[in-house]
Amino acid sequence: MTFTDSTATPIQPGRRGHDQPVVYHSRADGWVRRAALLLAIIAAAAAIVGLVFPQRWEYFGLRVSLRHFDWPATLAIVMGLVYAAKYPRPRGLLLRWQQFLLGLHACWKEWGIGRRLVLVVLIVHGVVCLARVNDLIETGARALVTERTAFCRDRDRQDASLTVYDRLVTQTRQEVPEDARILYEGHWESVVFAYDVYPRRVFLTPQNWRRLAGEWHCSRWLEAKTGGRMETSLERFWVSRIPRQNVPPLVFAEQKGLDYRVTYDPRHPDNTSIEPLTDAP
Amino acid sequence: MIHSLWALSAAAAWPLLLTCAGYALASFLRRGKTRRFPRLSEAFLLGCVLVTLVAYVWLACFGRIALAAWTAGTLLLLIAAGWGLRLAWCDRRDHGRVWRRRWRAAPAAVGLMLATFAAMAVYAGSAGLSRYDARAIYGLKAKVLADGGSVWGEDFMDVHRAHFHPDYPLLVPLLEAEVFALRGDGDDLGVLFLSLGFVAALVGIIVAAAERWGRRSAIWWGVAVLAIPLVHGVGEGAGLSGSADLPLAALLAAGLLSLAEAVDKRSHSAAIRAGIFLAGAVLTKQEAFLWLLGVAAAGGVSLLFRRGTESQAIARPVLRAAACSLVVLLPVLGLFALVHGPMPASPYYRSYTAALDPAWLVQLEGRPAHVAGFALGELVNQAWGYLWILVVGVLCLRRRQPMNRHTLFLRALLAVMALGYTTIFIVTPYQIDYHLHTAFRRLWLQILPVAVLVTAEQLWATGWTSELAAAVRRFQEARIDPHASDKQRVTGPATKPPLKRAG
Repeated sequence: MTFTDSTATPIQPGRRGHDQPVVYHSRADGWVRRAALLLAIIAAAAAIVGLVFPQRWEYFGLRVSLRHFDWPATLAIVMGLVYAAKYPRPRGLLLRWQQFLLGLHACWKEWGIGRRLVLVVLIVHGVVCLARVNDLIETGARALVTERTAFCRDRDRQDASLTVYDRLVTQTRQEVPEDARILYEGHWESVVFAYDVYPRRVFLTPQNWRRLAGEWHCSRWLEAKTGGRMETSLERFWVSRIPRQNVPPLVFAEQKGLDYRVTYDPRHPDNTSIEPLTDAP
Repeated sequence: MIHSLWALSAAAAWPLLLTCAGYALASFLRRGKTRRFPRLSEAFLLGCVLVTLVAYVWLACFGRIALAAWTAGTLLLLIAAGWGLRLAWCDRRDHGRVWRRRWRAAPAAVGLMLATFAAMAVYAGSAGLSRYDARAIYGLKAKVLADGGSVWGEDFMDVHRAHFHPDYPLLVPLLEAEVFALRGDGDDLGVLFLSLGFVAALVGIIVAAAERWGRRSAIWWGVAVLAIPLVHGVGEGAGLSGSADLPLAALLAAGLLSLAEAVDKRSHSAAIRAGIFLAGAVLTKQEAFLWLLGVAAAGGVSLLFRRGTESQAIARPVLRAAACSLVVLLPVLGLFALVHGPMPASPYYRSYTAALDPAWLVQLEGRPAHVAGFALGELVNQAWGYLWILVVGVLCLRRRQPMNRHTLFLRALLAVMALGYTTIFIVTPYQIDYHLHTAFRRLWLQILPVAVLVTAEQLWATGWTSELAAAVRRFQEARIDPHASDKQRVTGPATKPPLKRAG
């Protein structure tokens, strides 16, 4: 806190008399305090709107995106702390906060560059962590009010293909008996499908497994992460070692006693299907 | 509505039941010359390992756990929990004193911790298992086991069954299976309370371990660990994702802490506790085997760096503690082999031992640079914040205290494990981008407790925390004189401790 010039107003101590420190705030501190309060109120309002009515707002050609709680709430908290640091009549926790900042300021002046850098990184890290905790609050609040579905449980995964997957899981649960054994044709989601439709047992043909074993890295999220730049020349070494067993699906189904065939194709939703393999209802 | 409330309550009560049962075991293991009341984090982890060990013995004998066995096990657990609750009630004054002391030392830290746990509890109570590994690896196993499925049956033995890594260790699936078996509806709502228990246990262990470097700062270290996005978060591999990485980190941290206590206090019971925790780690994830090698290597390295007489003086208690831990660990390894030995190695997953083939290794000249580039990119992101920058920065500060044997050991362990995991990524048989993006953070989450303890010790040794605490204490009585010159403006009390310029 930098307080003081000859025009500064002395702020009276806290609860009891002279043992409390006397803190002086300059006029500039007053402006900082007011600005921080204003920003804190705006950010808090944005955080609440982002939590309760998440959407893009457009007024007079100006587009404002208020869809999240995390960073607006963090900004509100940080500005609240700035306001508390400049509060003119600190008592109790506010006084302790200002005393803490005075201690920090003294350390800053005494410390060398290394220790100062550690302090700066610690503060920045703390702010990022605070934003993530706020994100957890947002995720928890959304989980409370959102209907739980098979896969689309978070806001960042609700794309079209997963909706198709969700429908497939729901339909399988409704149409396929619990003791059924399923021949599944799909990709990396097959093992999650086995969980989602349990107690139905899910199997993959050897050729489907072989394809999967050679293509674990072939997924849209990884393409998005790497920008499609993946080193795949080394894959041949391992793909050549996967057993080349080719069993026709119907033969495999007969061997394993499978009752239903489920096909999932995210790129062509029309190919996604559930069909019985036996005459039994 | 009533059914889901009951189901949710059962899921939420399960970690508490484990803690109470573990408290009884922890009290038993705390007898003797190190008698003091057990920590709740330790009790929770011991409860988890106890249940898993009993289930593993059952599986080794019969291959499956029928509903009657689940019910009988739960009744036995209830009895143990009742006993543990009685013991905890006897220790209530001690626990109350500890919590009052922590509250007085750092009320803001305790408040932040409680607020974060409340947010996590809201999520755990409203969401089920939503992440890939949590469902494909652990959740499916849990459902099969809860349903009375055999570990030697089709679900685990048929390589064409859609089951991701059927040979993975079963600690997390067995604990989840008990929830599924108790509820009987197959819904996974509230199963994440178990993950919440592991996060709380990890935080408790970090606080307990960091207390030797200052009581107040220890609580802040707990907050620091909890605040890391990958610890409290819900993303893939994070604390609330339902994966086994954070439970493994907690068990390893508890094992290391008990091992240190065993060496310091020459305590057999602490060594046995360490053995139980490390056994639990082995039953949680395969990486625990690598950690056992890492602990042995780091122990050897830290002994090498001591002077001759010092090494000889410490070698005997270390060997004694290791022997006591192995008494517990070796039978558990046998149990592990009995249950998992018959499971066939699927030809559709790539083998790490096959990756040691020279024909493969000669092709990897570009991998180290690739892994290093990815690791540099991971230094700052939404999952870690600026944690690793902080760790590196703190380790660059000049120390004012000499390193003791624990510090040497922790640093050696950090280096060995970081090197080990980096080597795994370099030789991995999987496509490198796929493996880095799916496993890098999770593996470094396992190293996190050691990294945090190394950082806490270093900050203490540099005097950073003590200087800050002294300055804050000084300014609790400070006065600011508005009419003084800049240099004299801020003055402290007469007994102001000197601040040394450093770093």
